[in-house]
Amino acid sequence: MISFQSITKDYGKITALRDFSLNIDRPGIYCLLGRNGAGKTTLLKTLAGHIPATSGAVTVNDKPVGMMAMPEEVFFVETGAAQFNIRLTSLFAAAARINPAFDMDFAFEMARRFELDLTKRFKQLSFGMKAMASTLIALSSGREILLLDEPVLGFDPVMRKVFYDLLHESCAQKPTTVIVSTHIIDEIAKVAEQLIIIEKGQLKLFCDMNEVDEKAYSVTGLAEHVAAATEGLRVIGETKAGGFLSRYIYDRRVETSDKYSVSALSLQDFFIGLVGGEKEVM
Amino acid sequence: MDTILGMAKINWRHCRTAWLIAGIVFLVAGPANYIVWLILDFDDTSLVAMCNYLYLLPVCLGIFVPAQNFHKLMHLGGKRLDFFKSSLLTYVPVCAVVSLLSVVANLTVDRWMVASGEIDAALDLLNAFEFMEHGAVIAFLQMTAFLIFASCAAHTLTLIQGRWYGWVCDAMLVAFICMFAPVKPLLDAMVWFWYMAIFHSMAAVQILFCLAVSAALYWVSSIPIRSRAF
Repeated sequence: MISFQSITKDYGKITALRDFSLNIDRPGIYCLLGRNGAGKTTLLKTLAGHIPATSGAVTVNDKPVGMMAMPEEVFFVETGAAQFNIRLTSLFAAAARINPAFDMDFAFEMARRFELDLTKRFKQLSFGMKAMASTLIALSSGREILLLDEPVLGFDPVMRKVFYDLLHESCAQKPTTVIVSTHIIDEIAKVAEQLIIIEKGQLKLFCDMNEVDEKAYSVTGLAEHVAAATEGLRVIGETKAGGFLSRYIYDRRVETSDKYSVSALSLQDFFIGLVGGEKEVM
Repeated sequence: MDTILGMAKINWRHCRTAWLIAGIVFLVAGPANYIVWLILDFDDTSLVAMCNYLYLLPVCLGIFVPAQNFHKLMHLGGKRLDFFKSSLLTYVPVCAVVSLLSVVANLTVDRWMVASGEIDAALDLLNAFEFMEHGAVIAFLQMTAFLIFASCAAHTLTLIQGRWYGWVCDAMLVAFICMFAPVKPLLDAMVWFWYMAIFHSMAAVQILFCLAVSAALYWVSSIPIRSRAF
């Protein structure tokens, strides 16, 4: 469905994506994580055909993506997207005018659930509501692939919860591939099915969320016991306090023991451990 | 085709700045011109024909559709290729309507004002360009072609701004304007260009020349659209 083949994207002397390859072949919610400047937005824009890759190829349903050959299947929403300053009803109508697959009923239903005032002009909305309106246009677009770049930026916690519920519901109703880039990690973890982690323009990890649940955990106890139990395992981070040691592991499970405790690692801790640099010792 | 037509409709409905500028000029400049003429009581009783102010509309659309609507259309799920096609579809009907209104006004209001003795002459580009000498229908086609050329030029010039070749083009335009007058061959080239675009005695040649130049200019606009940051 989506294929990145050795994509490199340079902005002058800065390389945003470096020999990036990835294949996505089934619908679902994909969580795209990376630190600031890791290349997340560049990746999404390249897929949407908004910027060209310096080298390599991107295909959607086996068709090459280009600036003048933007894939019909893809809808990209970025933070702070400029829209026509018209009433939201008119904005939805405008979206329907250029996209025959636009689902007006769905858009109005979502707007009602999000308590969006459809009589307001776009510029009269708060920052969060503007983001919501743009995201609703994407969700109602009927496109197969939705790229949401920081969609919940500016949302309050209640709105974020409603948003993720709706995203989940929407994907359950019609099979859609949604790639969500966000920094609010633990909330996306509840709905995401696949995880893509990008670091310095390169693919760091692409796996199922269940795999993370299974393989990412922390081991805490006396330093010598923890060190012995985790020897040979992939340690992605550690903290020390007195004689106690906590190690964050991404590997097979250790055997249970009363000498140390094993607990699940949140996606945020896992992400920080994975891309936050070398093992962190406090 | 639905998408392209849909984009064109959005451009017509939601290019407020273009409508506002052309509307204000049409509604304010025309009557203001008439009032000034009445107050100052000039000996020369010639007035600019009202519909001439509408010629601003295709040019304003050529500027504001790419400047303001491009990003917004992309955020609504539009595609660059569709934008490229729909922009021309936006301009052509507007050029035709403005041209038609202009010809109709030339044949009715302007002639009536002259005949009634209100004014000695209505200063109209249709007469100045000698289009009306070929008859109303041909004049309509000639003015439409010329307005398409004007809107395409504005469209392309707007899109290339902010890019290195846009700056080069701006510099060249300024240089041409400054250099053409004193340098005989350059002046001749400019005279030839405007003769072909406006004054050619054969209407068909003038129309085809305007359309050919418009097509070339419009094609050039695909280069900045292809690479325009979003």
